Amino acid sequence: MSEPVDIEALAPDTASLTAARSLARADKWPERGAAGPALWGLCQGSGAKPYKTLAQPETGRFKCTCPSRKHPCKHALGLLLLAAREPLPPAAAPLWAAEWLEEAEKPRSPKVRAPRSLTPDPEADARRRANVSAGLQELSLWLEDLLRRGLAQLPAEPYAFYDRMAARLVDAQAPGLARWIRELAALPAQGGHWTEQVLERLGLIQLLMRAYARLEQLSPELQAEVRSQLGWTIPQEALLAEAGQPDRWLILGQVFGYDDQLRYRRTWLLGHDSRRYALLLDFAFGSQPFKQTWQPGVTLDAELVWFPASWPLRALVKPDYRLSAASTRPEGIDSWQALRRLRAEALAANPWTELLPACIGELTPQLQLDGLWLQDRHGDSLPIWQGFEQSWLLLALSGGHPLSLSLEFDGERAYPLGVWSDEGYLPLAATA
Amino acid sequence: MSLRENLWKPLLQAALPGTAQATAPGRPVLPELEALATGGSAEARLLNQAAAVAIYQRAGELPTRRLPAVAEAAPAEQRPVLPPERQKLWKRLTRQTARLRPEWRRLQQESLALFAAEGWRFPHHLLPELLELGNEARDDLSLREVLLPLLGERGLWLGGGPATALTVRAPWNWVVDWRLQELPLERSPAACGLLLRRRRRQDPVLGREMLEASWPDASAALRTALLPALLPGLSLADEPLLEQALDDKRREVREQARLLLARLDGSAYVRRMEARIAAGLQLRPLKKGAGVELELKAPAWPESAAEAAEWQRDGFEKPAFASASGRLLIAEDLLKACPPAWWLRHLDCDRERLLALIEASPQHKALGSGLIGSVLGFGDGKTAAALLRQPSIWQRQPAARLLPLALAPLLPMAELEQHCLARLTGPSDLPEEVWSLGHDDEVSPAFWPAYFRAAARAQPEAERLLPAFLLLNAAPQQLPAWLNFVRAELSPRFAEASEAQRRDFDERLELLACRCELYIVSETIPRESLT
Repeated sequence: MSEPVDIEALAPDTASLTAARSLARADKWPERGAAGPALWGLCQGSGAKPYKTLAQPETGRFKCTCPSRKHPCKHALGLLLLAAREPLPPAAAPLWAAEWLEEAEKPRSPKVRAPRSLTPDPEADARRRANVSAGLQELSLWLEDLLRRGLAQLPAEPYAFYDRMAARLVDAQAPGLARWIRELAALPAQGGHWTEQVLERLGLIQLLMRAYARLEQLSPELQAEVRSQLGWTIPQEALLAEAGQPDRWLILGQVFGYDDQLRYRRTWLLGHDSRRYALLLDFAFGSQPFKQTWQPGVTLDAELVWFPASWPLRALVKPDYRLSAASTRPEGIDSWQALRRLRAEALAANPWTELLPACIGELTPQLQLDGLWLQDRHGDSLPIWQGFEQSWLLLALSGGHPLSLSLEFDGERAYPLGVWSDEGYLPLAATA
Repeated sequence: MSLRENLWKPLLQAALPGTAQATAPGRPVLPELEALATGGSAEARLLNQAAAVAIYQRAGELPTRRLPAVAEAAPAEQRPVLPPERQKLWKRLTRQTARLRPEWRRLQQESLALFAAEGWRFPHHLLPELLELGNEARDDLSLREVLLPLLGERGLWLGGGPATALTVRAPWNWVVDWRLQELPLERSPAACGLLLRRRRRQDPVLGREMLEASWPDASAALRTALLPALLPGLSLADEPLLEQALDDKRREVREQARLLLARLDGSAYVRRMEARIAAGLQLRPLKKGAGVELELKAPAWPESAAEAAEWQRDGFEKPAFASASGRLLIAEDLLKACPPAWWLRHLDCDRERLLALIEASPQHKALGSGLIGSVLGFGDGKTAAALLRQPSIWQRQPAARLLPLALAPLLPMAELEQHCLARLTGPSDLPEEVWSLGHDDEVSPAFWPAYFRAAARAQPEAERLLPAFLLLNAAPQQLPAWLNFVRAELSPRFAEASEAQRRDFDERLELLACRCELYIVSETIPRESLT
């Protein structure tokens, strides 16, 4: 059965995935079963007759009687998500499903599906680009209208105001940008400097739209970055076939989070010789385990391949890796100002950079009334992320003395990942 | 105005009311943005500038600040860190949820006490775990006492020192520097109480002097928290201080003093209680020569003002005497403050006779409660054993389920050994709870030959062959021979047992192996003694 991470990758857009999550309940599927590798089910929609859905994820075959043009549709995705949560009972395929399966077994015509590669199918890509351009035109009008009316109106706007635009962007195959628009909705309610934050976000969206408008003039790396921000995905199997960077990779630490029912995990790696950082991003649905386990503090002798980007961080580990001896302490940087310079470099390459990993020496954790801060050797302090659960451990390790730390930085706060001590690297465990 | 505000203000002045009402920003703050301020619609120009300012600010600014005050760093450690072999054992003792059970908690405490006695401290990365263990032990102050030296300088710094000085409330308010000679009155009552308790256990006289020195300056809450710390080593030498506390203005302090005085056999307080109930506890002849019956008559509120004032000082209030049930409760309280030996003297009988009289009395519930309270308060092991063998008395009491757990630790070890052997081959007339507890004394060497003989023939029932009582009280020197015996003789017999029995056996075997390992790593017993 498909792992949840695969289901996520199968979704044509985030709206389909969101809709599929609401269908991943047994009561939505009065009849369902698993006929070998094929999953079938009847899903009661708004019409009189239930939709007949068939999903064969291993072969990428999905069929449904619903009117959606998306492939796979939300029903097929919902059936997969349900099966990932609780295996469907083995049951012979009903007649309609058996016929579909028989049809599917017939040899496919060559134009049905081309093998996925890093270079997108030009025809499909051109279609998508046209779709995205149309979506961005609408977004541009929406933004101009928003600014004409003024940001002061935003607190009175319902969520649907943002959601409608986001849905349009999903339809236009720009789910990445749709996420940005949905995230805007939460800002006015946060108070504080929300107007500044909204305008900052709108500015970055504008920058992305302008970059897309002159995509051909950008470097291939920046093109890849823009496409990724808009929501283009890259087939992982194709990426893994590319040449990688061999090294001994120390798993610095992990950060876990939730996005609706989807759990995500960021695993940060640091190369011993290359001094490169890498981010492994994993997803799992509900309480399902992540597909792969990465143990913080462990060093891997592995080859990594990065997703094309102007400041590459996200990577994949090639399957043939083995555990290696612990690596030595990296030199890293020694102050927050140095991190600022690093961030400036990253932003120069990729203006939409959100997260940065870093190894910083001589940081002293300091407990204050408003939480834990990390003070550098110049006396400048930066707050630690409120959700960090190992504050006492960090204080115990430090005792008011400086430490060498690895951390994730989001522009506002630091999230410590691990500490180098005399005994070696000690990861600061996070809660999944 | 900060640069940040300078950058955003002109943009927000246009964006907030909207470009329909406000003119778009004119000349940008940054000359580099000039190009973005021309061409296109007013909204597009505003957005272009916002994008540039956002990147400019992100690249040039970090939200750092200078902290107004920072904590003093922890001093250097004085004690050596726990060696790796002991750390490994500690991990083994704490890694599974089964380790939350009382017998595992007891073994953890035994290990901690041994490590502390050996002079170690825990490594820094284990300190939060250790402090949390102390937090959980709200009702087990002896565990907290043991933890203090193991925290080292770093743990003291973290638990109650400068590290938490800038926070609103320290999560480990019980942590205190155990080397202090005076009570740190500025610290929490829990911390002061723990320090006093520790000192008291080491030297009762010094402990009392420590309390006396701080008594005049201690707050009422602190006085209330400090008095129970006198329990270890309580003696008649403490009586003057406790009598003084009976006149304290705070009711809770007076209550604590009474609880302690009621445990002091021979104290004036106990003598007063004996005198007050003596007339009410009598043997009354039954009609037609049918023997005697134990009768409990509740005392009446004294008529003399002087006597009434004395009753009041001892915690009795006149309104409580208004009803028969209230008077019966007062009689119970008086009986609890009379030592078991007084009961026997006063009634001129032995323990068995006393229990028989109580059981036959119409007021058996009040009498039983009084005797149980007396046994627990004065720690009379022989009467506790007699009581446990007569469940009809304690089973009628409130919270009867917990009474065996409270009485069992008082039982004489010789008696427990005898029952433990008998239980290997038949039923025991002691409640099962007795065998799930640790004891203050060790099992005698003479017990073991008989145990090995009986265990070799006994049914494979883990709770009979390896009761927690034995696992926790076997002398360290006896552990290797016993572990060898269990592995060689008992383990094969459990191969055919039910899964539940096998799991139970394995868990008990693991406890035994861990305890054995504890004394091997601490070099009390040689590793070669294991086969």
